Amino acid sequence: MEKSRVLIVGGTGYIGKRLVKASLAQGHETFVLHRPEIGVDIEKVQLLLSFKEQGARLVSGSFNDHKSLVNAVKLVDVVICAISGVHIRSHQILLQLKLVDAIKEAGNIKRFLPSEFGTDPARMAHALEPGRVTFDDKMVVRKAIQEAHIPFTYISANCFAGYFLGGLCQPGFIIPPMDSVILFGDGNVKAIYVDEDDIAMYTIKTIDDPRTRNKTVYIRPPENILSQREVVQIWEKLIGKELHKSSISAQQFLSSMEGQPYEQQVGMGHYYHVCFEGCLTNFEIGEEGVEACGLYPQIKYTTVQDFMKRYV
Amino acid sequence: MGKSKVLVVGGTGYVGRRIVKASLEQGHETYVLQRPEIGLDIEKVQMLLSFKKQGAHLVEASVSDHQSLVEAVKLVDVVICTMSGVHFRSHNLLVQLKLVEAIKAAGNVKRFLPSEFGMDPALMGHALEPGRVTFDEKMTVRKAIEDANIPFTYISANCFAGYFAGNLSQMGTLLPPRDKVLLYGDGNVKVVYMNEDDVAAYTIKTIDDPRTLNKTVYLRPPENILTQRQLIEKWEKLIGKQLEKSSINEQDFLASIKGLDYAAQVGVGHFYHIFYEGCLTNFEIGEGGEEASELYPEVKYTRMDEYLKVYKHEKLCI
Repeated sequence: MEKSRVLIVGGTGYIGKRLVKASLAQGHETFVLHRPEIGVDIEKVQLLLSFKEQGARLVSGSFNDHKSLVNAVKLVDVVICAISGVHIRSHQILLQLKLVDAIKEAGNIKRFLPSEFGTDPARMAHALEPGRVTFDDKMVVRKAIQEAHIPFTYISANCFAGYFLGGLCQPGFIIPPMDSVILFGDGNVKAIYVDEDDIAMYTIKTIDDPRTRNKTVYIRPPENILSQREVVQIWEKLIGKELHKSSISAQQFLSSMEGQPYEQQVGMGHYYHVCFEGCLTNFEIGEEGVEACGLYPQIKYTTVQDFMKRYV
Repeated sequence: MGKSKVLVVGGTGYVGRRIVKASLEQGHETYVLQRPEIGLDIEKVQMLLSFKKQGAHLVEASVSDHQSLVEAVKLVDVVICTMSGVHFRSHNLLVQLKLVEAIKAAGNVKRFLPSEFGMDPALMGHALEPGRVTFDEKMTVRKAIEDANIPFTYISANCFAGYFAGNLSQMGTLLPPRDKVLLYGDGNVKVVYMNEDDVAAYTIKTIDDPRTLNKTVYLRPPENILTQRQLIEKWEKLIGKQLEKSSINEQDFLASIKGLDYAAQVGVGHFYHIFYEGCLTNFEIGEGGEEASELYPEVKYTRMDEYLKVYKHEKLCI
């Protein structure tokens, strides 16, 4: 396939940096938005410079400067926004509306991928407060995109392996415990775990694919559709030891949300929908959606078992 | 030289991660302290896992748990601490006293490199408040090391290029200015600029070298001893354009400290000593010191014109 020119906004973030890497690896001419506001953040500056050394181009632009965004957008065919890549941070999602305005004015963009990369917000209107803010904000952005007739692809990436597998699906953990684990309910609800590098690879595959135009792409690697109990069993097999298991009911979990700080409540609400309701797997993909592994079988995704070996 | 067993404390920090990388590259058996407190920082966890993948061992221990520190220290020959690798941050430095206690109790460590990697604190007794806190605390740690008769090497690494060269020594940014540059005084005071990767490479060279035992090692590669004006000239040559220069005198610079927050005052104080007093170059290395680029001529250190190349902006994207 011909090279595309890709602009990545939020390129120094958790998912953003993987998108930059995947875009370069798949041979696209990759531009990374460099916001002057990052000023004296040495980590971000050095990450941007390392992208440059790998062949990316840095473009100066700020969400506070509409003209700079338009100028940046005019350089490329595709815009990918990876702002707020972490599930429980959401106040930045609406900044994308400025990007939508810039894309509309520039008029040259063939595809826009907004910052999604999690649970499909179109299916989460019923979600608990305050976690629903994430989905409400993403739907506001989607509406703006569609009203502006910008060609889009939405990526529903499900559970980030680094966060969910690292903690054996327990909130507040990102390194697997060696002794005990708390199961949500009976631990038999299915979820979907995807290595963040694979999320980036699938995403970059979609950007110029007519099959994904104006579609939602679900990343559902078949071998990674597992219950919490199955994840725990994989870990137990890897470490050669059985964990002490206890269980928390849905009611107990919801009760424990009260009194928690806002961000924690947002995160716990998301965990509730994933781990108790099974919101990632309790529906069939309709005609508005396509599945990434079916579209791109050549990608050898990381299995849960292979992913967890790093923690042994 | 035979392999050493090295423990890096602060391995996910700005300098620490480079030390881990250099230790692995130079063939040492490398341990990285993993503190339980980092459990929720995904970037640090993933960095630690990438060290593990490159062959490092992760050792879980907490600086607030003496016995776990002793057990970590007993695994190795050399301990390198890179806590608070950034010049301006200093509140972490005294945590090293717990590490000193653990090293004393363990009794097996052949060399300890505390968190220095900047100006030599022994020469900064006169430094301005509140910046002097950095040096006072490093001296407190040094005293504890020497009272405990722990073999040491102190690394005086001077100016990190990521903070002082990439921005042509301008405060408040990390990237070179486009059009105008501010000179400190006449810009003719000599400074030493170091690529951070070279700091790490030299550091790891010293850890089992008898010439650096109980010494301060100064990093002064001759071609990186530059005035601010010379640094700017290198950049101008790279981009083919002259910057408009203005100057701030010593009195005005010091006056600008008033009204700043604490951390900024610390930073301005350090800038003052480096760029007005020339504290990195205004002394001869005595018998308690060694110079790294003389000890290790095989290290091909990064010159500043090479270092600055990555900062050039393509015309299209300005």
